[in-house]
Amino acid sequence: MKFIRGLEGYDHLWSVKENEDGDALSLLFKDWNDANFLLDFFKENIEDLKNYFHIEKISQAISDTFEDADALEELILEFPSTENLDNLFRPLSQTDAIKTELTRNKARNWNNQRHPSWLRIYAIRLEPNVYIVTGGAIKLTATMQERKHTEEQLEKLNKCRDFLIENGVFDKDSFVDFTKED
Amino acid sequence: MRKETLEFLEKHSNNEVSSFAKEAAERKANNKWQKWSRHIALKIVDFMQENNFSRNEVATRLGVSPQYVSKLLSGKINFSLKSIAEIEEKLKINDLVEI
Repeated sequence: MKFIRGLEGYDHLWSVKENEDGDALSLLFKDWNDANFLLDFFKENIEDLKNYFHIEKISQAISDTFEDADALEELILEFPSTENLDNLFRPLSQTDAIKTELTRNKARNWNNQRHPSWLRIYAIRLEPNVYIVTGGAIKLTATMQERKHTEEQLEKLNKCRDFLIENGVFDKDSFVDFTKED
Repeated sequence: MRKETLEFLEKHSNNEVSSFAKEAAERKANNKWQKWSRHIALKIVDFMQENNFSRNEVATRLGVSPQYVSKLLSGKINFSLKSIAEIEEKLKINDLVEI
């Protein structure tokens, strides 16, 4: 597994290098700015969109995603001036909130006006304000286990965390039991 | 940040930097005109949803390839007035661009 810096000149935000096409962080925002990708996604998940967000029109969902992605992008780009990623990321579950190292976290635009944001960036927190982005998703359901595309993101988080345990310099006793997920 | 953490990350890195910030800057620079392109893309999405049309069906109606329809839907195409008028006419969409 390879990691690359999320922002040039800063050591606190890292991203998993996925493949030659890009890294986890950049690929997410490419998708969230591509109406083609979003059209296919919302067509496939139209029932969740209707049931959980009461949105019928796919164009509305795409437009909201564009807007929300812009806001989230701004929050990440603001990081060098605040150096406080802990404000952006929050523990994924109560289990993750108990520990301080190698916890799974999510970032979203916490102040979305129209409806709660469905965009998520997933990351492993190595230590205060230090994160590795493993991926992200459009999360329309209450839990990640309910849909394949979010379940896959859980697997990515766990895979990255396992890699860090096997190869890293971290204290194994401090790890969260990742079989527990709220 | 702990020295060990940084050393570990750098050991598993190839000194590359994410293209995220560069792409974000490009998005910002193109934001004004791409808003129009996105607006047209979303009108086509409405047409597709209302009529239950696939990309292939839109392509047939427009007399273009499905790949070109994907390009139209990307929200990153710099439409000419002529192409806007053609889309309006062939898909029977009114006011693709509202002025």
